[in-house]
Amino acid sequence: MPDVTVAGGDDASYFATMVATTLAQNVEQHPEKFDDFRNVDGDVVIEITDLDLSVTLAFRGDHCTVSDGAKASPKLRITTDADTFNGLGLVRIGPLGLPLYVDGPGRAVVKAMVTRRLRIGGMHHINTLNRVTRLFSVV
Amino acid sequence: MAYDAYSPEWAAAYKDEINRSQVYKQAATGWEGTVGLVVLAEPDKNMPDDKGIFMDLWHGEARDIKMVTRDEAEKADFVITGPYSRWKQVAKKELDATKGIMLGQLKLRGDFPTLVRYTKASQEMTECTTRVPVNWPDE
Repeated sequence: MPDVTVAGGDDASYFATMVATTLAQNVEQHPEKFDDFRNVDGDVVIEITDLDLSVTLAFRGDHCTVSDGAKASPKLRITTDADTFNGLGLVRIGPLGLPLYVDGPGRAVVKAMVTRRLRIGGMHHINTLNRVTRLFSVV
Repeated sequence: MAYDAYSPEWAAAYKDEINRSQVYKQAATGWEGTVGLVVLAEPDKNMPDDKGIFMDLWHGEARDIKMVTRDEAEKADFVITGPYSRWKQVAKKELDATKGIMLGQLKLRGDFPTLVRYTKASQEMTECTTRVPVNWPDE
């Protein structure tokens, strides 16, 4: 099973712990997500603009280290507000493992992108984006 | 009529408010599990002892909400812990509970993916607390 750790121990932010716990529990409950976990193989930055929070998820094979702050030049950078971030977990995964953007939660994500409340850097890494979406999808 | 904060009467009024909410009923369809809220003492704010709230929630219905000890509240499936002043901010709509959790102002224990799935239900539960008039011990 994947090994998710939080860098910084007791000094880490609660947000880093929350992201790490959500990721670890979701993969544990859905072992089919483990392939996605292994294949991200790079850094993913999540920035929550309205709360001034940022974390970097460093995926390296079976391990992921979540640390506070945004590392430079990640493979994927997700910049959004807290409400939109929480909505990302509700994106359903459809046939062929592709995220569904046609139902309510999916349309909300598209709308957030159009209105720039959600910005994704590294969209050309489309496979990584889909993997991360699947890893955090809880529905 | 206002209720003394975290009294049995307040707990009963909170239960009624949740059961009156069609938004909660719909958003929490499928929810099974108990939730414990722990209010940490702040003696300088006339809250000398920790308080526990135990919520038995089942498929969109609050079957029981009662005041308990902190230890009993911590036996629930999901536990949210915070100091009195933070909970008061939540009840007065000065702090969004979800954002409070992301910022570590409220600490969550339980299955995170499940809670992400029911974010709307938890937001409505918070809304319900704001609709119960309260006599705060430090006012």
